Amino acid sequence: MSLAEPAIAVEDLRKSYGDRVAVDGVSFTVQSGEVLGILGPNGAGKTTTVEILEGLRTADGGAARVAGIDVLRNPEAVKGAVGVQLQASSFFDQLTLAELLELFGAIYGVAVDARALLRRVDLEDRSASEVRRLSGGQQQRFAVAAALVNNPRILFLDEPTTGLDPQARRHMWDLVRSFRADGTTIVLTTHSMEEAELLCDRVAIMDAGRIVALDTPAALVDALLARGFRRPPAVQRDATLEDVFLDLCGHDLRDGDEPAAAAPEGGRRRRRR
Amino acid sequence: MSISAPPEQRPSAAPQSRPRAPHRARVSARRALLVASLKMFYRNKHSIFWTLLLPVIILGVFALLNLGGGVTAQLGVVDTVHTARSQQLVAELERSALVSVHTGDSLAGEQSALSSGDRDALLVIGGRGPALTLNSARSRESAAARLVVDDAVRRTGQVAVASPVSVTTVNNGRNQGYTDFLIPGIIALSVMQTGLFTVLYTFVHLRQRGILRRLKATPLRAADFLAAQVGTRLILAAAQTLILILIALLVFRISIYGNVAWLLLVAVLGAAVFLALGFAISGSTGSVESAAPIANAIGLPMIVLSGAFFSRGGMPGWLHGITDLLPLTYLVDGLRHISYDGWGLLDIRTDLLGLGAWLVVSGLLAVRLFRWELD
Repeated sequence: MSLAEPAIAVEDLRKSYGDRVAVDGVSFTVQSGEVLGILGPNGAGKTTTVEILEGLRTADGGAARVAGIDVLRNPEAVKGAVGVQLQASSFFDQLTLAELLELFGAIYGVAVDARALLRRVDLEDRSASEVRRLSGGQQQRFAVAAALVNNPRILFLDEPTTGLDPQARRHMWDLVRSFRADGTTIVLTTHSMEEAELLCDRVAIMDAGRIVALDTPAALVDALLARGFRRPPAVQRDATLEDVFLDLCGHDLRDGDEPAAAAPEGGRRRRRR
Repeated sequence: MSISAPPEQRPSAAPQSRPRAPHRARVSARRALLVASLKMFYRNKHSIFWTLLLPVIILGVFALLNLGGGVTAQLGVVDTVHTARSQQLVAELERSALVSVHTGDSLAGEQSALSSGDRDALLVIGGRGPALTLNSARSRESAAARLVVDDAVRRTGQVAVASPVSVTTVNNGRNQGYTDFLIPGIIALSVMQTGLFTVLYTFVHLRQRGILRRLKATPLRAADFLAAQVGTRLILAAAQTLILILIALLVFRISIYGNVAWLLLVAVLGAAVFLALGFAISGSTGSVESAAPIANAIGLPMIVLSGAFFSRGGMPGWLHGITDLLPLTYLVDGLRHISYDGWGLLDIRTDLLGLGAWLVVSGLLAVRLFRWELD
């Protein structure tokens, strides 16, 4: 780890909605180039924490610096410095993917090479499509492309693989790995333990607004075993049901609109449109 | 499409970014949003139907109802003698399908109705016999009225006791019918539709789908976003008004007595009022399902009460007083005074002031109530 200022530094962050405490004194740092996973059940405060850091929500107390910017004092400045992929959000209909990226470029005040951005997320051939014509996986990839418009060094991905089929999920993982290889700092929330284990340098586990554990995936498992945990031996297998699924259906993306798929059901789906 | 990065750029390399001066960036963001929303409007066939085609269809239906049948002359009848014979004559006239008889008003009232073009002919039954005045600007209708009156006089045997019906001709200088009255009302309605309804539906929809939420996560300022949206819709309202005026002139052959530029100006001012109202209401409306009843609760009474389709002349005084204050009434009256009465901007200053007051109030509400997302 470098001695430079961390990409993200959060200190005793607090946020309540009325009586409900959503974030209850959260502290952590993310080093530049690190991938931090935030795990936790629904309502644990993951999204609220991330949205405060993105400048989308105000905090009630604490301190947070993102890319050297005091988020609580200057939430608007953070928005220009980071890239975000949000839950439960979408893009205008009636604009093509390329037009949307150019519009976002104009909003950030940067010139955009829409084609290069779409190529980055494997959507180059859909540049003239509307978002609503895309499959779920393609929509998520487009959301990531939109997060890259301002060439951010810090990327927030809020449940990027929720609702995706195994192939699309693996494709998204490859994308995240490529960002990590470029040295982008990533904060990623997820429900998938497998995803956290595969992609994240460190994992923060949140529950009821607090971080209950924060370490590398291996260290967290070691600590659990050190506490005497033993998995019931009966379920030990060398393969999982997902391995079976991927073995039968292949790893190729099935976005429905991908030109590659020559499988009979792919053709049927295309004709129905 | 603006491409700054070289085409052979490696896929893994992030696109070039070139920050601009903040103010210029804001201007370019507004312009990009304006162009994008005009593009979206053009590509959305529904919005084209609602803003352009529907007003034309309504116009056509009302015009057909009024103009499609045969000639019906508006005949004012003032009976000053009230004899059995004069009453017999009035009854005979009322039996005719060719004239619509108005007997309620005083002589002065009927004379002013004749000179304002609301009557095609006026029959005054005095001691020396019936006297008919025809409006020569409406030759078809007044000729029909004359035939009906001659026939009724002959049938009731009045010709034996009085001299033949004396006929005078006036020309009120205008040839206006219901369509001329209707067009400003339709323009006002379309402007309200564009402002209130489409803004309400569009914004609730954009918020419900999280499209506004995504924009909130960018450095875009709410004021710039609203400015671009307002700009887009003012352009649309002006275009819509211009198209309706052209159709009214070329297809329905109405006469516009005032300045068309003033018509456009008032229409755009009205559009701004309804836009602000639309934004204000959409700020506190969660779903498209709840937007519909709210839009109707506000829009429908105004359509009925503002005098867009029919004159508010028949309303009781208190209702007239209340409906005077509706934004749509100011807009309808302002447009109608210009188009139908040939008034200038100074003559409609009451309507302009009314619209201005509504703009300030609803504009403040819009800025206060606007929200990117519902918490």
